[in-house]
Amino acid sequence: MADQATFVEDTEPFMRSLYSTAVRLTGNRTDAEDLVQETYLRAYRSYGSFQAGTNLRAWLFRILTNAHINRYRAKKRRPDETELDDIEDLYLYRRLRDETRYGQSAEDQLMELFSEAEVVSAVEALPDAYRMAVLLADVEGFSYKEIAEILEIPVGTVMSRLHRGRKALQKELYEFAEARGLVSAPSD
Amino acid sequence: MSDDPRSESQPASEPSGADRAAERASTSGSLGCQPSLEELYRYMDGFLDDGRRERIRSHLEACGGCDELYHFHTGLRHLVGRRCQADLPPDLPQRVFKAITDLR
Repeated sequence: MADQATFVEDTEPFMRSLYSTAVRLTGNRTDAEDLVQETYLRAYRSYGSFQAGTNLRAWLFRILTNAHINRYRAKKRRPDETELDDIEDLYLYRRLRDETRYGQSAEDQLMELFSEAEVVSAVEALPDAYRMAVLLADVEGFSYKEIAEILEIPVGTVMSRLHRGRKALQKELYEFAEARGLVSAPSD
Repeated sequence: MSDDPRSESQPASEPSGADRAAERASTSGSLGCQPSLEELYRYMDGFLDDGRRERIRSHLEACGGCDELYHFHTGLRHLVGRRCQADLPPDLPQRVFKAITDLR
């Protein structure tokens, strides 16, 4: 049993990452603040049922994603996957590989190529179920098992959502790069 | 996302990442170029048992093509991780915890 008396000091260290995720889930700061507020209120009320010593960060993220799903009726079920089926896995990689400057790391190249606004817009364009998986894995660094517990889905579903989310993200990013003339249109 | 008229004409017959990596690699490790993209993701995300992880690691050391592909995906993961941070409004903790104190 966790003690409500220590709730503030126990949970405050996680507010920054919960807020970051809330901003990317809701798409704006005002709704994100409301979502964080609601998450903390819900967490406080049920803190007595939290098993002290277990994964508090994952528990808080589970409350956050559930609150988001309830508030915005976000689709928890699998989105229509057919629209992604024709995207090749290596979409962005294959195009950028030809533009790589010698000696530049992939990460430096990507950082140089895509602004924060573009990456955020690509993430926010993802269907909810994929976006949650990508945010929890790539931004928050949760393991597949933790994400499965947070979203209450099997680990295999986590992997497929993550794979599809990353694939869709690459397609979005590629379109930004192409729109700015940074990569040439496919010719093959 | 709408239909993309530029989509690859024959995605099913496109060589896989591992195949393309194999084309570019001069030598291959003990696995040949077997790791699929799913498996590279599991490696990147720390979701492989010790034996499989070690085999992938030594394959990446030996195979330039797969190593390049792997670095692209870790780069993309870091790009998303770094670009998606949002600064916490300085007064939010106080507001959140005041609402909780008011409940008491």
